[in-house]
Amino acid sequence: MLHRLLQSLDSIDPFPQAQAHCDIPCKIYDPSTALIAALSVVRLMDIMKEKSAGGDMTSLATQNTMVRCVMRKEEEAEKVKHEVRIIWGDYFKAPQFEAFPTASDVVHKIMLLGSACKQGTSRADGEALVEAVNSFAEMFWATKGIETTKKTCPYPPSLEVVYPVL
Amino acid sequence: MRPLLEEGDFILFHRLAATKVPKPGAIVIVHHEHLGTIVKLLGEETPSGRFKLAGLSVVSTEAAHLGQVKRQDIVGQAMVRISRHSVLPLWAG
Repeated sequence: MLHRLLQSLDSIDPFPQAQAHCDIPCKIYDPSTALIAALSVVRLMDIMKEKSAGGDMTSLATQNTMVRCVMRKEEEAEKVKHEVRIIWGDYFKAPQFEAFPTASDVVHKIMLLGSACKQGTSRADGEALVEAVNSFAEMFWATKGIETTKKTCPYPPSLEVVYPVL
Repeated sequence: MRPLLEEGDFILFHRLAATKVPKPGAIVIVHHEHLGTIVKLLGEETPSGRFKLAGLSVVSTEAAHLGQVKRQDIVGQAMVRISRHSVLPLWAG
């Protein structure tokens, strides 16, 4: 009851927040999970397109594949959003925002593109999602003074991906 | 040990007067240099006048990583935890 009342007040005028347990394992942040999830979104869009073009849409097997692809696309797009939010929310602090003032804009763009990829099947949205996560990954590694390179990933959907040079 | 506080809990805290020295064992709200605003268990005061911090959960950040904090970084003492299902005192007296 009291919690619900405070939640309502918090939604109107947010209280200051405090973290009780910092993420463990501490200091382990890596945008590669988000990148792989973004690539998976594009790959799933491609599989859906192939199936819808060549397969019998009324067959149970094709319908099963389509439903699985939609489910996985939803999950992978959500994973992109979640992983990026964690890095942005927990790792990025004043020095990182000073060095990259556009970081929040890029993160917001990823949120919007992630949602667009859930809602639709446009490959252009998927490619834009990969590209936005690439920009975020470049920023992330730059805050650590680590160089990056852009290479085509050695598996479908064969898009260019930012990798750290370690 | 389970975390004492869960995501989404509200905490009622008592802002500490600048002259007041909190006691070890208190749950305190701290403005941490690297970790932002955090809630932790207060440890002993060191000879240099700084305070150690600890977590209450196995998933808490290690005490060594939390480091030691200055008295002025300790904002207040947590008094009550208001969770979705219960209201619990955090202040042991």
